Amino acid sequence: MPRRSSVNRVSTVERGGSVAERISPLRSFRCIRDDLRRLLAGRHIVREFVSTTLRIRYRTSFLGFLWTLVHPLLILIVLSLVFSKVLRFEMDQYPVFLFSGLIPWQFFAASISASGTSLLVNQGLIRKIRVNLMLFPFSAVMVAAVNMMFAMIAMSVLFMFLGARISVHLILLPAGMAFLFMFTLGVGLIAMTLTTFLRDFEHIISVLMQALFFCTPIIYPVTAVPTLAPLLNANPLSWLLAFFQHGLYYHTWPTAQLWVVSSVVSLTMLFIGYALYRRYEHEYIFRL
Amino acid sequence: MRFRSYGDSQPSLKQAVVDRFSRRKHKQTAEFWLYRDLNLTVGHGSRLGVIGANGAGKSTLLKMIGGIYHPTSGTIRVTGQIAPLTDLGAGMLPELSGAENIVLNGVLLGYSAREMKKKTERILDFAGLQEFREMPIKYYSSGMMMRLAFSTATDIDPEVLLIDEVFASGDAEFVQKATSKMERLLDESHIVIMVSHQLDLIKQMCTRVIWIDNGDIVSDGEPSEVTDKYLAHASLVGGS
Repeated sequence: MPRRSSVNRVSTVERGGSVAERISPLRSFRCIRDDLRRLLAGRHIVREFVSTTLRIRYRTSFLGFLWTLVHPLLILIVLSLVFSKVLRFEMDQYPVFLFSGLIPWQFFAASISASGTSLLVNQGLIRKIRVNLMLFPFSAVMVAAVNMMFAMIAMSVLFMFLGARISVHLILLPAGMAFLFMFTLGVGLIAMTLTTFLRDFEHIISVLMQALFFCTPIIYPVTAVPTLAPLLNANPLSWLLAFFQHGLYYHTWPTAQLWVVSSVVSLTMLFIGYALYRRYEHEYIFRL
Repeated sequence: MRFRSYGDSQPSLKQAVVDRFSRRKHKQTAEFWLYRDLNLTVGHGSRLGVIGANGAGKSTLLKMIGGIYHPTSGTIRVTGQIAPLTDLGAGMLPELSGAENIVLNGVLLGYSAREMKKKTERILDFAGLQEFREMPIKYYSSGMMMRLAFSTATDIDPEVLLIDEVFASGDAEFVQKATSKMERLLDESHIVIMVSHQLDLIKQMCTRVIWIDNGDIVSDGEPSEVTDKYLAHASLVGGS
């Protein structure tokens, strides 16, 4: 019978030395490679977690799987009605603008709130079976990514009705998604560390998300509030979401500045999250 | 390994800040060391029994070997696939059906979903739960749960088998099946490490026994010898 590859597992812990030393370049490359390999080895687990989460979520509801399409559609319809009839921002095809920013935002917000509590929610499992802890936030982000895919499908249907333009700039979407994914994973890891160690952060983070939503040009364009421009520019999400807005609404190519800022920001966040994770990797268990 | 137990199970930001200021250094934290200077080598073909009083640190040792707790210093080297038979049903999700849970648990132990789907039939057969395979396990009786968990866990090909007091209850027919399955499992494994309070079982099945007390190995040797010492100690402490 085919055996899964037996891993000669050696757990070596060398304590001592500051955190800086532990993240020294040479060791970190080897560590990153090991972690990537472990992540790859855990892909079955991720797939099971993701499919399990989605199955459970929709199994008990009447519409079942259709909800993955209907839910984002309803939200988008309601919000676009509110924002184009009630609060007015003078924009051509406002719903298209709204959706192009909202869908990636939903992905981000859902990922962070799920990642934050991912270890706590699964503590029974973690305390009994050895699982690479990084797989939990990773699965949470993947679940949100799948939901985003469906939301995009719903969105494209809606766009057809709205008569939105499709252009070659759609190519920007994968790039935007790649950056956003890395950024989200990083922030998710940070959220997971914070929430596991101090439970309050679950609520603090959700409040912060609300605030962040309004500090990001999703419901309004940057041009509409020039006085707030510095705040919006300081928000990394404004930059990352711009890829989606360029591709779906503005139909222009992003500036070099946007590319640079996005890649730097997303990689930095991923690095910070990952470094935190490695630092506390063996201590999470004591906090569950 | 340094084990930290945080008395306050809901660590809050406010508490952390307050503690910092009120100079009550981790008043609610119990910190103690286990297995300092531990030197244990278990070779191929061994069946190691672990006995000791409750709270002595037996499960902790198993968890350290199983990779759940990380040593604070030193090395734990395990060669071979680890099959943990501890607290059956840990990875079970109540909303999922029996068959789905089998796949999930198998994946957690390291198999791919495809492999697990192939094993599902055999596992359900052994557990006698074929007709309930699509039912969410939250509706299972506790006996059914136990059978499902046990069958899933024992369908593996173990190289290093870690058992933590799983010789629990079930109906008579299943207990017989389970016992013979366990014996076969023990024969197939290369190394077995078993925690139990059933001393006759330990004497019967193990080739070597260690007695854990207060987070350290107090005695290590022949099964009958160590279990006798343990019993003598227990009656000394508890009897009079």
